[in-house]
Amino acid sequence: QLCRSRTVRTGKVFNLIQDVQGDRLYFHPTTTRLIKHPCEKNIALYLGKQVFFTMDNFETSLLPFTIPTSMQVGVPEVTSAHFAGSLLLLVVDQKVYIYDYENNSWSMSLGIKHPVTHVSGDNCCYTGSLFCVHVSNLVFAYFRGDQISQTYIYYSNTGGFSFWKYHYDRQAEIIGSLGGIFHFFSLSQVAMLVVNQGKGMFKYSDHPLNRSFGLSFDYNGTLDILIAPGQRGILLLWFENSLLFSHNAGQLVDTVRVKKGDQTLFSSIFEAKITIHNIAVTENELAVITREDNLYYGNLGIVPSSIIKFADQYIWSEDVALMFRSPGTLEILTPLRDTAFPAFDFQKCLVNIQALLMDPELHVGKCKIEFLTGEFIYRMYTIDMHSQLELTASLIPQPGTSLIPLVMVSNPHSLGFQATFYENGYTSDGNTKYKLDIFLKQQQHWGRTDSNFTSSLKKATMSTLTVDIANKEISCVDIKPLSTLISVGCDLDKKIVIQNKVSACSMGILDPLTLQDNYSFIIEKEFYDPGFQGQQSSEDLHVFYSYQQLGCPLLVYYDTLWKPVVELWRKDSFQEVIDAEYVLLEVNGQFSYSYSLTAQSAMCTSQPQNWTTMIKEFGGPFFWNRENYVSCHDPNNNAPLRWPDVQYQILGGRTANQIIFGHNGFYVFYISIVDPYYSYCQLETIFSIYVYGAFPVQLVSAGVVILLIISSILGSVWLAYKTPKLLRTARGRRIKKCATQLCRRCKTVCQFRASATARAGTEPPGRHRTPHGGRSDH
Amino acid sequence: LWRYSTNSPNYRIFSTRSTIKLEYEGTLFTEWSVPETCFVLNKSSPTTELRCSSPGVHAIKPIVTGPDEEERYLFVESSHTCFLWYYRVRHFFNNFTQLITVWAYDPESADPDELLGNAEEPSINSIVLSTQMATLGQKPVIHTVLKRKVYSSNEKMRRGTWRIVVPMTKDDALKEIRGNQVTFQDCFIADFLILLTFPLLTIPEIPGYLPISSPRGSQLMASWDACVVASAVLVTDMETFHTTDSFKSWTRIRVPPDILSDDERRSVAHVILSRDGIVFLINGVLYIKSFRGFIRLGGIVNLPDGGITGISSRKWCWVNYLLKAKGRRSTFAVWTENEIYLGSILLKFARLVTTTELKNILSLSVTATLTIDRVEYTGHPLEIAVFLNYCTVCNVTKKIFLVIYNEDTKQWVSQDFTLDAPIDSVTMPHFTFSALPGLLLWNKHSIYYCYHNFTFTGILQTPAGHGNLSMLSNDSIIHEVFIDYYGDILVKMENNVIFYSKINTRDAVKLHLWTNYTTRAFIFLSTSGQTYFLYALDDGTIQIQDYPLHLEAQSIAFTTKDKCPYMAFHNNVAHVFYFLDKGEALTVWTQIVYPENTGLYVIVESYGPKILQESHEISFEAAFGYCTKTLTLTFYQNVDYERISDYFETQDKHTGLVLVQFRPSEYSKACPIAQKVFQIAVGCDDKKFIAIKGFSKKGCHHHDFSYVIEKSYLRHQPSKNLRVRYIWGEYGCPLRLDFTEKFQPVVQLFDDNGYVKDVEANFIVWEIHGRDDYSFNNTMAQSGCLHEAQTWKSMIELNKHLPLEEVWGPENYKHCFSYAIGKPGDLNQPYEIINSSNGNHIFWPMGHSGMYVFRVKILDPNYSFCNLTAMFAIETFGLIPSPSVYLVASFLFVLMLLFFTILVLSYFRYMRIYRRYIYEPLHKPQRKRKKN
Repeated sequence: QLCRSRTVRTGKVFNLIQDVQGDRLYFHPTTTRLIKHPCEKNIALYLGKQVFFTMDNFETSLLPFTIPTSMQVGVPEVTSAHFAGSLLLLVVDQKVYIYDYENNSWSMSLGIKHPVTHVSGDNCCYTGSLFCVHVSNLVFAYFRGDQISQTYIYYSNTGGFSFWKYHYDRQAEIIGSLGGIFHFFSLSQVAMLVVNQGKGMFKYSDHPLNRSFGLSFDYNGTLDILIAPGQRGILLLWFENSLLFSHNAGQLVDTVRVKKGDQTLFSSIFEAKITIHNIAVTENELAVITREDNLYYGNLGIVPSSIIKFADQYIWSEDVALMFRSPGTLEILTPLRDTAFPAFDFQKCLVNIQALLMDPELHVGKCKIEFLTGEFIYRMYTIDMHSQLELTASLIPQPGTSLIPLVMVSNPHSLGFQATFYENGYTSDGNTKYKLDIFLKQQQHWGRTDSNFTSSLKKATMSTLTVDIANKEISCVDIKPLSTLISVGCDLDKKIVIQNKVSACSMGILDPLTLQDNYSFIIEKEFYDPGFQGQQSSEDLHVFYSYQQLGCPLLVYYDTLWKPVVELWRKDSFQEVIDAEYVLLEVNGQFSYSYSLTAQSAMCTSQPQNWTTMIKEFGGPFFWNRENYVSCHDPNNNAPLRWPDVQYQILGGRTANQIIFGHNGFYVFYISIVDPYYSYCQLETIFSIYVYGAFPVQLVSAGVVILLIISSILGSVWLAYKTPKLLRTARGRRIKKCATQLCRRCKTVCQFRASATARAGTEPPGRHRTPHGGRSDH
Repeated sequence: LWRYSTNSPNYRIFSTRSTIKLEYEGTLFTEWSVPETCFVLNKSSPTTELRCSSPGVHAIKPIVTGPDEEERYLFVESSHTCFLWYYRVRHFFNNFTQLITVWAYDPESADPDELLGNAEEPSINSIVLSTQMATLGQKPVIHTVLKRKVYSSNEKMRRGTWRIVVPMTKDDALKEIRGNQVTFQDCFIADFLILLTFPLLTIPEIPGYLPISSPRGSQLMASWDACVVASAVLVTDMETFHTTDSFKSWTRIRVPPDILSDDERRSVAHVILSRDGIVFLINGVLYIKSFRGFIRLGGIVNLPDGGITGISSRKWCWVNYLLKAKGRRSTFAVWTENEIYLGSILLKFARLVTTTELKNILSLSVTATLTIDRVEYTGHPLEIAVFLNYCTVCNVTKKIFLVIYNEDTKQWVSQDFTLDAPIDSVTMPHFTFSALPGLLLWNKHSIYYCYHNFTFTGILQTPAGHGNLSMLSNDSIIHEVFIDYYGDILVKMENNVIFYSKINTRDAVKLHLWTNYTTRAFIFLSTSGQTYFLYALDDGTIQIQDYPLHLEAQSIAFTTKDKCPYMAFHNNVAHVFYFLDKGEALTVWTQIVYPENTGLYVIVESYGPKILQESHEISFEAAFGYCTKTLTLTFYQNVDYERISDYFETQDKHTGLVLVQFRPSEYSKACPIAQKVFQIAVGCDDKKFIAIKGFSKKGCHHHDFSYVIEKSYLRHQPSKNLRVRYIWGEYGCPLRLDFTEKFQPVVQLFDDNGYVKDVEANFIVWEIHGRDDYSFNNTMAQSGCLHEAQTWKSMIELNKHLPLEEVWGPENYKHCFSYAIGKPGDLNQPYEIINSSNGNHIFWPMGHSGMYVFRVKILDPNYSFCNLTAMFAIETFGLIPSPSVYLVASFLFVLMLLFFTILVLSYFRYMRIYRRYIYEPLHKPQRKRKKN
């Protein structure tokens, strides 16, 4: 006996009849699908004659799932459904609808102009990782069976809210119909299933797999494609009488065999002449229920996958569906119509796989593994450029058995590893303990592979690491392969900080309190261009100084060549001073600074990029980053060095380029690390500096000033020579006399005034002194 | 019919060393049939002694003439535990302590008094054994099960006994006597579980009063205190008995002759034991018998004067629980056909609901008939289950519904339970001790079970293939259903046939007959968690007899080949009640060990508000053909209470009581423990409090006095000086400080076990009478503020309508360490928030002394659900006296005098020198000339 069934019947104590509101959705009259949320174990969607959506693992009686009439669907037939984070995407009547189950709200996707039948996507369950959120948000919508050359494919990076047309490289040249399009995160590739003349094959989007198709396989019927959760690259392709399996995201596709013990009974489902009704898949397990009322079970290992048949029990009906409740626990679910209530009850049958596998008739060997664990499970890791990772796993086999450990990465094109397996002591009962050390870094840096095998080093990728036992029995239900997701990409904890040891506040030049209090400064119109083109503007710019963002500005003396000290921080700890290439841009468009090197003096072999061209090319500032940066020292860069005298605007790296400031004041710089081989992160920040010590700006040109000074000197020399001479002439005497008289008059006036006020002696002091002075002169 | 017994109480020791007494009841006895490894003293005596020298299962039965007697399979252990603890308790009411006198004894060679539990002093053998043990290092200690306290003897052994003093407690009654691991003749002493509460007294018999009883020929009726199982009341058809020590001793309950008629005295329909007394239900009216007398309960206590159809009390003991709402939980429920009343301590009754209201709450049709069938307390500490009869055409069948009421949230939740029953059927419910509601419901013949929140239901099946227990017990009907904390279910029929089941299983088996068909008996739980039978004899007395439930169940399991699917099921849940405050997490593990490849696992279920996050981690390993699965669970909350506008509502939303249970995925009757149930309360533990280090209420002269605060020192600048009374009882001893001394209060957290830790969170202090002539030595800038911090001044300004103690608190605290909020402002103001590490101190005004009464409040919104405050008083002293005028004058005078003296003296000195040299030159040039 497989299981003991029970019926879930709730909320039917009092005769409170709830009405079914809205349009009842349906899937297909004879087959069923059960889609479990890959991350939240109690959320699932049942598709069949009725559709049921549950948030408690079908532990309550449910009304059929409906779509509000306000959504105005024509035929409420669901063709495909997918969970994207906390959204349920449903393709109803060739349109994509979104049900947000957390807020119980419906909406329709934007941007889809042509009919679609399917949505596809993946989910990543490592909570708290932004990469995971990104994975869950990428969704494709497409029309299955359409000719690829003319079909419209849509993708969404907002979890399905809005779609854009997806441009597949040379889509028009592909012959065949579309079997599906998927983003295989395990391989960091978008793959399209091309069906042509009864054969199917996957076509990939990126180097190095984009040159050829994956291995072709028989495609009869319309295969449903299930991506097993966990990003291990396991695919299951199935139809009523076909069940195919791929463990490397479709590059190799093989049939699933039917086994009994060690013996293969049938090499495919077609041969076994069974009709599959429903399948359920977890990370490591597969269960199949057939129309013939048989239950098959298999585990998804690396060795050619196979399924075995369990003892019979009458469980099949048209509405039956399978789901794994937890590893090793399968639930057979049948909705039951209730004549008295519109809500359906559910018949559930819980199968304990482990106990069933012990049936001696199945000839299943005992599990030889006693213990397998690694500290890396349930965690996600990041390998940034040039960084490496060391993971360990430990293993205890049963006494007298030997196990073959297997370490696999799903994307060997970007992630390489070295594993060592060794004995590591004994358990208390004398069993040997083994340890597995795995040393991972980017494949490109191992230097063991051809560049035609590795993907581009610049591109961030993802890969899953799996540790499994090759000669594992099917009965090892509780020994799960150890698996973790490794992002070869940006370490989001990294950030750059500009060293600010000497700030304008610490030197007492600026007051932090003033800066905090809605401080603003003026950039004169001659020094900035809002278009970043170096043109003078028509009016002065008032800039609000955001102290929150910028803090106290760095102090830079005007007369020195300057470049910032860029520090790399990870969370709150300092890592290193960045020596990679970066670019600076004054955010307000000030251009009163220049670079110390030109393209020529920077030894460029090709024309370097600069802000003017980048802004023109990308339609705005701040778009110069590691993605679009091309070094002028790169031998592969074939832009000719046409203007060797232009400023070289890239700092850091191998050149000693620095900045020369033109005048005093605040500069707010945007800095972006453009070196593509420094980190996968887009490292950028904004900082401010305060330049002081420059002379005030000259109003008159230097030549005029010099001329004036020289002429005044010459004039005074001439005067010094000419005046005594002139005084000796008669005219001069007259002038002298006149002057003395004028003097005397002045003196009398003064004296009079003085005597009037002071009533001093009769003789004016001036006269009394003059003879003294005269005497000493002679 | 035959029985067996041992010398050790409750069959505690049943090993190769034990003497097993066999007893045949009947007349057809021939001889005992025992295996060869066992030895019978007298094979042909109906009452004899048996010793089995080899451990294992031994089939024993009497050979009789006539129908075959039942064969028992006795599990005789080979145990190294062969001694027991004996204890006596003396109560001291002067300091509320209990003196436990403990000694060790060997049940195989003890005095009869010791075996019966009547010994006041150890026998010679026990004295020898105890002193021997003591010399080997034995020393018993008393552990409490709930609060995990340990008491040990601190005096020397006296006459072969140890004496341990423990305080009397109400909520920590379960205690265990544990010894060291010391052997004497290869024997250990078994740990001994005892229940020790405040000494309870039985209601004394008063001469002349008349017996009160149930109707003639009716079955026994009993009720006991859920937390003190030793305290019970039993009603027979002759008398009513009251005990406080599991019927080792008892008194008869008699009533005054004038209140009840003879007929009424003989028609007790129901009885419950409450803390206020014994409540009888007689002809629809409640009467209470207490120390103060026998009173009819009616209109005076808000109860109806008649028509009461039932009363019910709690079945499961939960000492601790969390009540969010103010008030108390009820102790028993009273119902009529249409109304439910809840009674709490001191006979306070309040009507809970009427059926009309219930129809409204459950939105049922007004015309249908709804009556209250039964009210029963569930396994939850705060919930009451109400069984309702519902019918529209009430002539043949009715529907029984179940609604659960929560006394804290005041919510009625209708359950997924419905039962169609004949209109006149009587069903009795009994809830199990589990987190999710689970219950047994029985009529006369069969038992209906609902486990795991009504998802696992059915009728208990018997090996005969049906659920009718009467058919297997000579058409007797169900008398009592007994469930214990381990999940054992005993169904006793009126003719004393017993069926055994366990919770979460689907079937029941018939146990061996223990008592003859005719004796009227009742099954009780003893204080040590064992079952015993109580027999009501025809002479109006009662008698008790231990019942070896586990030996009997093992014997049956051996015949039915029932095995437990797992080997061990452990957990580290040490308490039954956990409090989680803000930021706290509870991590527990549970482990199941099972034979290889059977795929068992542990199911974790929780019941209550969804306020806790859970994280699971499973580790698996296999060895020696056994698998071990360990599940590590962490319960936590991740709510940030900082800067939220609705602090108190958010707090309220995230507090509550959650019941959690662990159970294995597969289970059978042969397994020892069914499930582990415990409570997690999220909220304020009202036993938590804070105090300032160095302040106490003791150690100073205790008197109240008044003093005056000058108006200029007060915050609100009143026109008059404030006269304040110093309430010593509230403020405690003031600390005297020199006003040059700065002071930083050190806040310490305490709970009912004493000191917990120093509080590291931010707190604020304020002078409760409004003084503000003190300040703080840190400025906002020094404290690292990026904008102006909150101060008392700014908060009073903001919340003018509130009293001083409410203007500032965790509900409106905003820190000053980010740019995002607030104006920079003047950061040179004093920073008024203190924590243990910011070095902020209070400093006092120089120049005047004063009395300051401060209150402390924890300001950190993520620190605790409790509103933690404490008071402390500081008296500043130390005066710099202004210098006296005379002193200054005299000092100056002395100084002047000195000056003039020197001046005069120097004048005279000068004159002397001048006079000497006036006629002769200072330098004599003659010598120079000589040289030249």
